[in-house]
Amino acid sequence: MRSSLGGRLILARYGLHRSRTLRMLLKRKMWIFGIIVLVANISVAVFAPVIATRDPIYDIHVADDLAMPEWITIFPGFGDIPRNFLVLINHRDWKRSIHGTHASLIRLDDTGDELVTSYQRSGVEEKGDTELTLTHTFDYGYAPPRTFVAYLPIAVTITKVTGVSYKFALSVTRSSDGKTFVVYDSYPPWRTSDFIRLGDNRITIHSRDPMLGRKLGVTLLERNIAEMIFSSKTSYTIHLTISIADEGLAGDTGEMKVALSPLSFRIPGKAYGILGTNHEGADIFSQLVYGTRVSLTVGILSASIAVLVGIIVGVIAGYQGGIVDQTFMFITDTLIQTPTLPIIILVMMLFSRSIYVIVSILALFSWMGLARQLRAWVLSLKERPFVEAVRAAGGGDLYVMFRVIAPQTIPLLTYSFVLSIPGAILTEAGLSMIGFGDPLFPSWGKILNEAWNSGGFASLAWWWIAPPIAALLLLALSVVSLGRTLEEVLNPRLRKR
Amino acid sequence: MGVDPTRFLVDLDAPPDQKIFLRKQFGLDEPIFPHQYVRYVLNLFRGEFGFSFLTRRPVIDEIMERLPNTVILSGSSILLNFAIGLLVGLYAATKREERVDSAILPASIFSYIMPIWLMGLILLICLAWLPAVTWGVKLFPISGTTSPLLPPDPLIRALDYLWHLVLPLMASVIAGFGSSTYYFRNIAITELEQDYVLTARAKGLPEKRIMRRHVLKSVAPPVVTAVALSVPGVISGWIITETVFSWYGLGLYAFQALTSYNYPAIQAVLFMQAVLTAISLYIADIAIAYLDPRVRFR
Repeated sequence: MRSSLGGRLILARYGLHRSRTLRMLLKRKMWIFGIIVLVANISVAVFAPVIATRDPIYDIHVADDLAMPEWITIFPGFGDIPRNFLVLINHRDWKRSIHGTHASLIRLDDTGDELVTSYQRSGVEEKGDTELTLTHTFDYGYAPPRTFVAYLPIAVTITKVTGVSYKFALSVTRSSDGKTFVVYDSYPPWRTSDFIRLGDNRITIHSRDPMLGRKLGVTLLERNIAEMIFSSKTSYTIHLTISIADEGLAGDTGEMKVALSPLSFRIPGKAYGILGTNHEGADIFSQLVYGTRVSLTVGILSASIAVLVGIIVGVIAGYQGGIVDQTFMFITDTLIQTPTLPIIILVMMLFSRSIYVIVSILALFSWMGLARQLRAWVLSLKERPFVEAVRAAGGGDLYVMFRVIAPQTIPLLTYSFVLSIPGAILTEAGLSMIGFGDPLFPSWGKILNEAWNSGGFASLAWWWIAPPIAALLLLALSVVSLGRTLEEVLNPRLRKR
Repeated sequence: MGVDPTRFLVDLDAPPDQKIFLRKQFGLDEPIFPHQYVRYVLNLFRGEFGFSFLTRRPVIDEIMERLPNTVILSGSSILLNFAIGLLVGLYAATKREERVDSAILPASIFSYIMPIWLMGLILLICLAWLPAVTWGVKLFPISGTTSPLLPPDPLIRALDYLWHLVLPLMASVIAGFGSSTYYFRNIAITELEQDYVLTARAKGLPEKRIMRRHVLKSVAPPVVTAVALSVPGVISGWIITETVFSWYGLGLYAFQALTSYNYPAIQAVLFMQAVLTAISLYIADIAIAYLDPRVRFR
């Protein structure tokens, strides 16, 4: 008895048994295609944190903006596109050279986390300049990059000396033609203890900095500094020069300390990951993987709610008849004619853009067709002898409605549940496309929205636009083909004669 | 509930009297029911939909500016979709379970799940952005309804309008013919199994004549119903598509009104939609009574 009775009854009535239904389904190619794609989508959604390499919302600038997929480098002509390139110069890796009049006053200490240069002054009374040069050489083997960033964490402390001033310079020398580019220079002026209050303990050098362009004598609108410096595949040398000028004041006893943490020099790649990056350098593959979750959640949740509401309204309206039926059907007809999209956008404008709001409104506007169909089925089912038998045996209204009649409509419920999933998925994607998505969830529509608003189309970033479109269509196609096959197998009217 | 529209119109630090004055100007100081509502309904009879909060122009003027664009785009797309759907669907029904039918069916399912805006995006990048960026050829416009700075020659203007119409129309046809094809194919299949078709065949009528004279006649009422039911969706259904194509129509207007809390405009657009629904269903009823001899006027 119970619900399984209903299922067996209905299947038996249409000459369908569970095993035979399954066999009929398995014979169809559309069913197999749908199942494979759906299972793949579900497993991607479940294992999203494992598959995705980056956080879809918070990780930006993982590579250059609009980086191409990395696999493109296997094609000829794309081979030397710069990949992510990081030179991390540990404080022990620098080649050091000290020269100048007061070279003997300098002590170098690299036992800790940083390279500490201390200039200890005790009673020397002569002017003098000292220079500490740190060099490091690395090879760069790609095409000219678009940008580079260097972080130079350097901290200066001056204790009790007033006549000592310092300056830094960072330069890059290209070994193919020996050209040197000074990318950072703290001079002028010579910095003294006064400057330390203003703080310069971390120097960031970015190739898009207009000041850097001025220093190198180029306008950023005309020349790209990164391309200019890293124009050939050869080895490059970074020179970090710390110059110390001593005025030779008598009685100036104390020390000046320069602490240098590991320098990082980064060239963001123009080819990155499986699907490249978007306008702010976020990984598109991760967004796509997490987007599966949003689409599946929206589709399945809203279809379930819609089916639930549909069952309740349809069965009660069909079974009770009279004024209940008329009221329910009036509500149904009104909602069918209601323009869905304006209402959804209005509700999202007024209340919230949470994904659950989207799901509930989508569900609220998609149960009507099922309710009407169910009502028609129930109208004929309630006159059947077995319903009468249950009622004669003392079954109450609720029992008859939801334990006897509702299980009879399982085939209809099954395929209308499946067939209402793609509509919800595509509507959510459309809403996200025009900017009405949940900002905290990286849905496929949101990827398209970003591409639309941030120049993905104008720069023909196919790796940005094509994946969400393909994923949406593939998921919708698979669910629709599942639904259609179920409908053909379960609905006797459509079965091929 | 909602947002005080005067917030968008005056500075946040403007004196409160100015705000009160503005609320009075728009009639927002009265209670919503019955005062505001009764005035709204009475104004509807005079064709007045109030003033847009954003531009302070009459909403009806703004709607009338955009209505032709929406009517042209959605009207032509509905007509094309149903014409293609009817032709292809009936053809597939006659060739049931042959190779042609089994090619049409997946195509129509694909077109059925494809949303118009998504097809629009695909067409935009393939036919508008790609030629423009790679070869510098302006094959199709990227957005809009008309080009700026056109000479006043009506022929050039019409051609320019058609040129802008191509992409949205193409998207709506590719993404829209599927559902009607599938629907008409199923209807025609059930019709083809009826006895009168068998009689006609037994009389020796050629297949084409059976289709044209007999089947088409009995398929007509559901076609009219389907067309009538698709008309009300022209405003709300085109919101996303018109936004994607920046088509200067009511869908884009509704979207702009919704996102700027422009209540009079939203009310007016939804009212237009309700009127459109009523009119199209009414016309469909009359047309069905004319087409189907079993239904009679009373």
